[in-house]
Amino acid sequence: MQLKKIAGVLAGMSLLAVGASAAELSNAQIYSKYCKKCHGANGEGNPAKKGPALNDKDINELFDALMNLKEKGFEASKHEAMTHNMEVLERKKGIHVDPQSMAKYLFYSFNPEAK
Amino acid sequence: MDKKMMKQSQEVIEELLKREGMSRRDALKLMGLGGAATMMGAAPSSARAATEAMASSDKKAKIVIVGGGAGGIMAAARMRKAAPNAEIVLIAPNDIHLYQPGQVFMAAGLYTEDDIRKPNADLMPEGVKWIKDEVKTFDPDNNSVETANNGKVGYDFLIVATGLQYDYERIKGMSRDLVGQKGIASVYLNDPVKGTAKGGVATWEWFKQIRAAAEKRDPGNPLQIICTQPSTPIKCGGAPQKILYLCDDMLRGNSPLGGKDIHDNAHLTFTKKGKKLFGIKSYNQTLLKLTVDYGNIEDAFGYDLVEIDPDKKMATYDYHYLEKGEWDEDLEEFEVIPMVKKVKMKYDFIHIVPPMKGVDAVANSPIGWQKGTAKGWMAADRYTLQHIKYKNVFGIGDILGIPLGKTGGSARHHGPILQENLVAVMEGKEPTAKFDGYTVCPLKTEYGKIMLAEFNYDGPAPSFPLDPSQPRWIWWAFDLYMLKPMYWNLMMRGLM
Repeated sequence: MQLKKIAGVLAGMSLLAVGASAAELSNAQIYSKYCKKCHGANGEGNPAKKGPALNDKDINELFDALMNLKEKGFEASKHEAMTHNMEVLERKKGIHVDPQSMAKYLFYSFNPEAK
Repeated sequence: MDKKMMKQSQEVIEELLKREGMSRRDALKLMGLGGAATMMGAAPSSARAATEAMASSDKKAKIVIVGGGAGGIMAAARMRKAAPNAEIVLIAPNDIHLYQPGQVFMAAGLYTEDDIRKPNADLMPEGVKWIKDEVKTFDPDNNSVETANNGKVGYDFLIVATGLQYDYERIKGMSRDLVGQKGIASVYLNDPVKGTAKGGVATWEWFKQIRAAAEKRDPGNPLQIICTQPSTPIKCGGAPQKILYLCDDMLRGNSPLGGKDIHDNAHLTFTKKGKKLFGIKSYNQTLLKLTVDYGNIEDAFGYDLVEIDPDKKMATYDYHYLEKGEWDEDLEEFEVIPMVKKVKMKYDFIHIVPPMKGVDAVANSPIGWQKGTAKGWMAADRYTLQHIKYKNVFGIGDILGIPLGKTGGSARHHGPILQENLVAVMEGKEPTAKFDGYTVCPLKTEYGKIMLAEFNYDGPAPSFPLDPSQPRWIWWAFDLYMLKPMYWNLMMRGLM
């Protein structure tokens, strides 16, 4: 009886673990895996890959930029290549960036002015 | 919801229903909806109601409000009640107040210009000093604004409610004078200072001209109609499509003009730079299906109108597309290179939505964002509506440089947040009320049906327990018969 229960719990946990790696990455994990190479390990930007700095932007600026890239409102994207990149991430890797929480992550992780 | 407010809104509802001569069944439906709506608007949650009741201050501060549209009047009405000892000054040049949402119904032949105008003096709250002038410069470092004819006005607290401006001239060859000429319409065109809504008038005329012209065509030689959307943020984000679908349904014979279904005698092209009809998936699906159902609409994505030749009836576009570049190891995809090329489109009739931007006084001062995607719009916090740098400055309405919609409904939701947060700041506390990005677009999909597209920063945000992606008659009736009296009598009095 006990063994069955433990096996069941273990099976459930491993299912969860697989689920987590496929769809539930944290903002830190998403950044590290997909954004860092062009935007820098500390959001300082990377001119070689044409990635602008993110560490000098107000949190509201970051949020507005992310919403613009995802064309959530009625305004057209101001950066088509980046919009395409984010679409690819969604389509191919199932990565859905949430603008509100990602803006928070970027601001508090990289901006020296953040308190 | 308090009894007095309930009675007031019931009276409003009964009055207009009598005037419209509605059937009792329909009237009851609307009254139920109206009651529910005013309840939603007035007290979305008991928590909000509790804090709103407490959001008042006895401080003797001077509050200046810049702008006399929906946002400015709502802010004035709310703060007049919330800060009984404050001196409140409103600076706005407009004698007339326009109910702008009514302009689409003007285009559809259902409202007249008179239906959407009221003297602003009738809406100015008692105990608010109105300086009938325009603010030319904001000087928040010195807590002052400069007007065109009345010198400088100082403040303790400032509410920026200027709205936005149209930039028709950004389209080469286009000007306001061309609206109503040579097959060109633009429902948006209005003059809040003069109190005219020429765009509504011109677009109804344009509908009539299109009907007459289409009757002489056939499916083998269809009339070419273009409806545009610019790449900038716009107010009433759905209106470019409202005109598209209403025009097509008019051709099906369903407008006040009546007539046979001749919509196959016309080909409509909807042009916009963006790649979707709507930013919310479910609403987008409805509109894609609608497009297929009409059968004669072509969505041209990637097309941004940059020039027009009214005599040749030729529209020139920047067509944006992506070219495949090098393989990117990191992205595990091919790089893309954004490309642009000029494409010309001939038309018989064109509906132009102007590019829009923040007013100059905001864009050219520290009130506006000086960089980033929201450059030129007010640099406010997306939640508290407080300026990101000047803590005694708040914003309301279209001028806010925050994502999503610029709609009357958004301004209505800004109202209580602004009130609570400004009161907190007046009391020396931090602003804690949060705006959730609420936007509402009553998108007309045909005469008699509206998809009430409500959404916020998190996604769809329906106010009623009905699938919001479904176009319904009840929203059409609500919009056509109830929203205007609710706007004048409840919203403009700070009651919802």
